[in-house]
Amino acid sequence: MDILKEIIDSLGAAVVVPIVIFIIAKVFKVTTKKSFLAAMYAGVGLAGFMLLINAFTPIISPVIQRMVNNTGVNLPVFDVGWQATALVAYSTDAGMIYLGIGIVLQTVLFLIKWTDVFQPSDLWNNYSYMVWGAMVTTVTGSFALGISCMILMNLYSLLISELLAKRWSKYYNYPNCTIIAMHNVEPSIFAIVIEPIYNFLGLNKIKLNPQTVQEKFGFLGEPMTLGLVLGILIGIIGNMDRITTIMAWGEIFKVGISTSAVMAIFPKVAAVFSQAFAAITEAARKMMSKQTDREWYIAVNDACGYGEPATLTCGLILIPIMVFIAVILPGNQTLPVVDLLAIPYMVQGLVAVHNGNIVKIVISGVIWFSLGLLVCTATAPLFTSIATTVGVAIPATAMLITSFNILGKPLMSLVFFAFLSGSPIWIGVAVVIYFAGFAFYKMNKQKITDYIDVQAAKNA
Amino acid sequence: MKRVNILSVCGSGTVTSSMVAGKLKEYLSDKGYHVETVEARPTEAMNLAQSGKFDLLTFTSPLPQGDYEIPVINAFACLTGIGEDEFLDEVTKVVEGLKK
Repeated sequence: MDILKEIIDSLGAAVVVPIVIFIIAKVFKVTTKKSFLAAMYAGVGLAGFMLLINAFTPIISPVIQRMVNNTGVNLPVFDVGWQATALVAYSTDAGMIYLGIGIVLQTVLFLIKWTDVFQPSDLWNNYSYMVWGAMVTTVTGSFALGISCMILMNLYSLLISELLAKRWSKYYNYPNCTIIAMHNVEPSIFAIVIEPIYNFLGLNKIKLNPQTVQEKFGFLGEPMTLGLVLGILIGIIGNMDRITTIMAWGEIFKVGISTSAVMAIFPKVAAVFSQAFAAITEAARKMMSKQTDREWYIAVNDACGYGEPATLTCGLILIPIMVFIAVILPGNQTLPVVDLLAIPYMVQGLVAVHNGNIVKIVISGVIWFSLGLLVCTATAPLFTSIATTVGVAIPATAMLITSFNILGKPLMSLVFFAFLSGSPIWIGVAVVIYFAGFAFYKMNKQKITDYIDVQAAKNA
Repeated sequence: MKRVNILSVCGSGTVTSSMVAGKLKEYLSDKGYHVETVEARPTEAMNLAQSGKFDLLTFTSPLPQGDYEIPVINAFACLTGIGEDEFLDEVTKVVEGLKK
């Protein structure tokens, strides 16, 4: 076992992950040529990502450090975004193990009718569990705990996804489809709870036109513009003490253009990596035999909702709001950056439950994502440490990294913290709550889905 | 060899757009086409589509309304696997109809 670990460590993720992908593809009887190509995509994507992020951190970290040391802006946690987080998660040992376990578990849960959602059609989003599990494994040293954490989170997210399925499917108009990504279904719980309160306040009667907002604020959603603006802003704050020097302005613009580059290029690199999943996803989907005697949903990637007008508009409105909140929120040390563009994914649960009511979605977003910032702050040291172990070079003490989308999950982090404590009591509580929620949902399924639908229909 | 330029759109130009692009590359190169793809986001799709560089556009995320000037095909079937053959047929029909 120790020799195996030594080999894996010396090869690095950009070599090991492709090998794992190749093996899984072959298990699913994908042709050797396709399996090899899939493996290459994974390796090239990972290697490219490491080259990119390791060139970026030396540029951004000294500025962040000076921002924190010299000004009152204490935001040392830099949001590198979901793409980077996915690549880190897939590179961890625990993540690679779950790649295999996840497919089997999700298929079995569907076939035994534990869940109505067929999840392996969106394998990509499994990194959402891996990143938490990998952190548990790193701290506790136990693979068993890390993997148990991933499994329980998978169960929780399936339950939430099922709860949301009918609403999402109806709102976004994809019959028998739903989203499964844990990071994007989680906020819907909050939306369901708060919806009656919003209606009591009369918010259901307000209707805004998404088109006008999109025309006015559309530029904010462009990666290059947003990157430039945020980069220059960070640069200016970080150079306050020497703002009259040429050196300062040199650095300000360098940080601006580099942040812009990262925002524009990370998705391209992750795109290469994600092609590795096409062949396996397609093969895994074959296990989705025709289901005739039940209502069921196919998990689809949350891209399917991204461009919907209310979704995109709320994503735009929340960009400046979340940056402002990050600065003023007590206890927060996270600066949302790359994932500001991911807000149209993050709000989809809210959009579906609030039935496209923009005011409600924005308020829910502000509350829930602010809590998210605090979770990012709390988990940043750990996430930074697992990123370092897979090869991301971050100068010690200068800054920390996170993903506003993936790690800013108030409810799911509770499951994580239970496992992190290693305490059988807390883990037991997390398990019991799941089974209680599961039983309650299954016994009142029709009533609950009807209730969510009736509430949604109250919006103008 | 005939060349085809495809603009593949999803939410961030990352995950599903590259999967669809990969599928089309494989499928069309078997039919003797040389395929180039660019992955894009919904908000930049219009400008790119109107640039004249692309022969067709496929999408998995809803698109802003407007005249894209090139054939626009819904690639949602690639995510579920249901109706995928019809999607590929539609692409083939468009590709075969291109003036060369």
